[in-house]
Amino acid sequence: MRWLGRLFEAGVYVTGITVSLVVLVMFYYVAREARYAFGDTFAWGFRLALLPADSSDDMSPGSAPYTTLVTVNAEGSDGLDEHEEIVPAPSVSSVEGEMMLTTAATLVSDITDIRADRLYRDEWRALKTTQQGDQFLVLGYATPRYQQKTMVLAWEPDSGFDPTLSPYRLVLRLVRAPHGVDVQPFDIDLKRQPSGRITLPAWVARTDAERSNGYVFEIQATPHRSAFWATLRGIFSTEWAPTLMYPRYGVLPLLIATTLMSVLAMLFATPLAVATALYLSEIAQPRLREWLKPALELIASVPSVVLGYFGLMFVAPSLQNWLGQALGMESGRNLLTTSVMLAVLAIPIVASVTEDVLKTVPESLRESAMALGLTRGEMLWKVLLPAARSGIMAAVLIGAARVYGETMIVWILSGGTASMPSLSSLQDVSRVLVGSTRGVPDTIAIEMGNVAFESVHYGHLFLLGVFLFAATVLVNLTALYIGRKQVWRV
Amino acid sequence: MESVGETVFIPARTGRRVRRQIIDRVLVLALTALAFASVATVLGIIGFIILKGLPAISLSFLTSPPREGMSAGGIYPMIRGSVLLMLGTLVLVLPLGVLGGVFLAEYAGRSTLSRLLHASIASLAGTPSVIFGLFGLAVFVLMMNMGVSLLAGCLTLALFTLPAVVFTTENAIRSVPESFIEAGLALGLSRWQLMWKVVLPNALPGILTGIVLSTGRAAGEAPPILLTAGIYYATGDLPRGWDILKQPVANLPYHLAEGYRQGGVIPEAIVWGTCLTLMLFVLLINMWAIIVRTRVRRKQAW
Amino acid sequence: MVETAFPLANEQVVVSAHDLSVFYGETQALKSVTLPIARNRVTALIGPSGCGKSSFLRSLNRLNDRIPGFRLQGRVRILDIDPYGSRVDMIELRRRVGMVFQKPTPLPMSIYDNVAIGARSHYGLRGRRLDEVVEQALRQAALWDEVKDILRRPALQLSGGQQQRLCIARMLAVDPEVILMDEPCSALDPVSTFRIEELMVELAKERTVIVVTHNMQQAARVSHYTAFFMYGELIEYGASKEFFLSPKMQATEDYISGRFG
Repeated sequence: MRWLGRLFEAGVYVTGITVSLVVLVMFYYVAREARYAFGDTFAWGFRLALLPADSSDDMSPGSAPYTTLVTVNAEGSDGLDEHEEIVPAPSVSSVEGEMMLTTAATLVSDITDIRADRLYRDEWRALKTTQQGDQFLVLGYATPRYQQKTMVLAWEPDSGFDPTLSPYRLVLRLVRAPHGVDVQPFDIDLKRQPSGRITLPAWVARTDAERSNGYVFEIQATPHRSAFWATLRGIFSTEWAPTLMYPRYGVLPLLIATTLMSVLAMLFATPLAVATALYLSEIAQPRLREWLKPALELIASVPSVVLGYFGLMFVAPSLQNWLGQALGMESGRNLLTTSVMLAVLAIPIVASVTEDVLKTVPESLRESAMALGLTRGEMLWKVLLPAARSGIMAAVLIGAARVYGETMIVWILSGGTASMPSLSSLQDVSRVLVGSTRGVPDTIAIEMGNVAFESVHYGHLFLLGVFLFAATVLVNLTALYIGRKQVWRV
Repeated sequence: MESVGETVFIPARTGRRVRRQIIDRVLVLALTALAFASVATVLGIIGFIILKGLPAISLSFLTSPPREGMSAGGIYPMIRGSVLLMLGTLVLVLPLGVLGGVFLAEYAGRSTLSRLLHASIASLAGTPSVIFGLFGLAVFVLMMNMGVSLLAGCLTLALFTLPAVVFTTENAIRSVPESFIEAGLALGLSRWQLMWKVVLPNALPGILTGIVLSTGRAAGEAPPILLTAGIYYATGDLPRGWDILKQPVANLPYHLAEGYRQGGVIPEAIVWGTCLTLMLFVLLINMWAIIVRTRVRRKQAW
Repeated sequence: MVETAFPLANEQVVVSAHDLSVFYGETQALKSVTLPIARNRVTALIGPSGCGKSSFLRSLNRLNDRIPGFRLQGRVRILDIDPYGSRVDMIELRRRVGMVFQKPTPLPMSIYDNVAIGARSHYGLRGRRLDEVVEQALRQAALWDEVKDILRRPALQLSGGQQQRLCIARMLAVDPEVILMDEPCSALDPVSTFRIEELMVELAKERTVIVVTHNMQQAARVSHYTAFFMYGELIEYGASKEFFLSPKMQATEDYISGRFG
């Protein structure tokens, strides 16, 4: 029997300590998965095009028909379907009609390897991916129909790509001018000058074979900022758009939206919950209280997905009907509706904890207040609330943490658009209130369903988890701390 | 003793008294109204869902699998999945939670360390359910290669319910009166014998109802399941034996969440029926636990 | 059995209980007690624990109402008010009848606010007038010199004796005519006890003081009249001097000579 006792005690110690460490273990693994966010694959893309010398200034590489897109790591460009999309550059004679000025991608990064029969006119991508400093050569030439003396090289970032966010130093330079053409070499920092044009003497390729002697431009990408900082900078930017060609992982709109709806929900819920608790603990007859308290606990256990559906089917259309016109609401699924349902979720939780707090206020304080001849209202307001203040604050914080991490209600009711809320004017505020939004927990739950495991996007979802985790732990610990600091002596 | 100066008091005027009384009445009335408003709101929601869902619920709805790509039929596999998840969670969390609670109540003492442990478990209790989902996905599903499966789901939910179970166990043990323990000590029982023979049996009803309450809440929580155990298209069949643990299971909260994601495939009537079933599933479990707890507390009025 | 030959011939009766019984659920805490109390005197209620003296005190300002199962029979009059009458104004009753508890119960606010809260609520005093009342109350409670520089500090920082005097000041600021004290010194050290006893005597010049105490010496020192309760009954009541020197009842003698209690 003795060894059984030992076993039991050992089990108690091991489990006790393990259980206490679970939160750290969880934090570790969630944070560990967030490392995938810091993978060093950054998409970038530039368009290069030769334009006629007499083209107007608003003609851009994006709108030109003979543009070459050099892009790396953009969604869908890595590996898989490269070869399917390789399109050989059309022969000089076949394009003479419409494409008088042409660029072509070479598959190689060494000038001496350029071969006339291996030129590609692929608009979509440079046919390789880069991580660590790579060169992309683009050949430029005119066809015999081109009569002007000069031509213009124009470049711009691919739509959706912001060079300032890229950790690469991106340089566009002239690597080689055609034989006999006299031109100043140039070397352009694409971050300083993301788009522009340069006039060059025209050079005509008369045969297909001759093309390989044309202008050779190079875009060179060299890592110059650490990928870590670039990722971090991306994280604290203002756009969350992980499925674009050049994905943006700015968490600020999500974090701000979640904070906004939680604050709003607690503004709705706190007075109601505290009133409910005050009523239960100070005003209700004992018999009624015996029924109401368990009812409150029961209500607190209604699954949030059910509350979400209720909000969707009842609150959203109702709000739309009442306030839709006045506030310019496009849909009932918006920040306001979300906050209302989050408040419904928070009320029983906050009320229940507050009631427990009020119960711990010693009876002697109530008696003193009564003996002084204060009315019941004065007792509640001037004595009980100040005495229970820190406990009530703790209760509100516990409710806030719960609301902050709530997933299903926000998923179903927020509308799902991640955008940076602007609160600079009253009009903006009302627009934000009735606008579609999206928070942190719902984003994790929704997007984790269609993400490739261990991808950058996956890493960023875990990173969101880290933020959420840290925020709620912080709020909970604050609640614990101020809840302990009772102002009365027991 | 100092001499008492002239009285500077002015008599209380009747007007002031009346005003105070009126303010008092208004305040109490307002509190009552607010309290009833909030209780009525939530009761109203429950009533609304019952009204909407009741027409959809029938015996065949509860006992037959969905048909025609989820657009018809019943929700039997989802109910079964939820029950399986809950049972699995219960089995997993029971030893961990109870031993953890015993540790906190009897072995951790009242030191700074014990306060740290408390804070740590309290943090876990306040952690959003979606974080448990993330953790389950990273560790159980991917790292341990369980895949999206019943086992991964149960493990995740067990972690989710763990802090609540630990705290209820701790409270139940602490509320065993000191006199029982002293009596046990007087009989010459060792600490673990005391625990085993005196404390745990007396705390058991409290512990069990606490566990049922928290697993009940977990059964309604969608995000952890979403990432670790759920499957949308479900048939009535399940693999035999332990293989069941390796398969994803359809379940009620997942069905509602995924049904929403798929957008309008499930007819509204079935959605309401599922909502009501899930709500009743959770509420009935809780109601049972609360009633048992109240009874036990009355009986154990030490 | 009750000694009712009250020596109150020359006194004005300000509080009177007639045939007063108090029940908490099944148990009876007071058994038809009849007790008149003299104006501007200190009356001590003594007796063993659970004898009903606190119940008597607390039925005078209806603080027993909050206790579940509380019931009361008989008649009470205090300052010509029937506290259990149908249209009694409890606020007014408690304004005129102040109370000090066994344990100091400072409210969770500053020293100043503790004293000011009653005067503010009852008389609507503000600014200079309120400052004057607070100062006067604190002076009366012999606390002014100790706290005049720290009026904005939380009252909970004061020592136990100071807290109790603060509670007395708080009560005095409302200017009650009758003061109920429920073992005001039992949680205090001898020095604080002495100061509060002094205070009782001083207060009784203008107000009626009813004090419940366990301490026979205290009752003998400060009170003009003493009532002895046992098992919910009033055993003996009389002028303190005679009461302690020549008790009429055997039980009283046993009690004051320390044979039980």
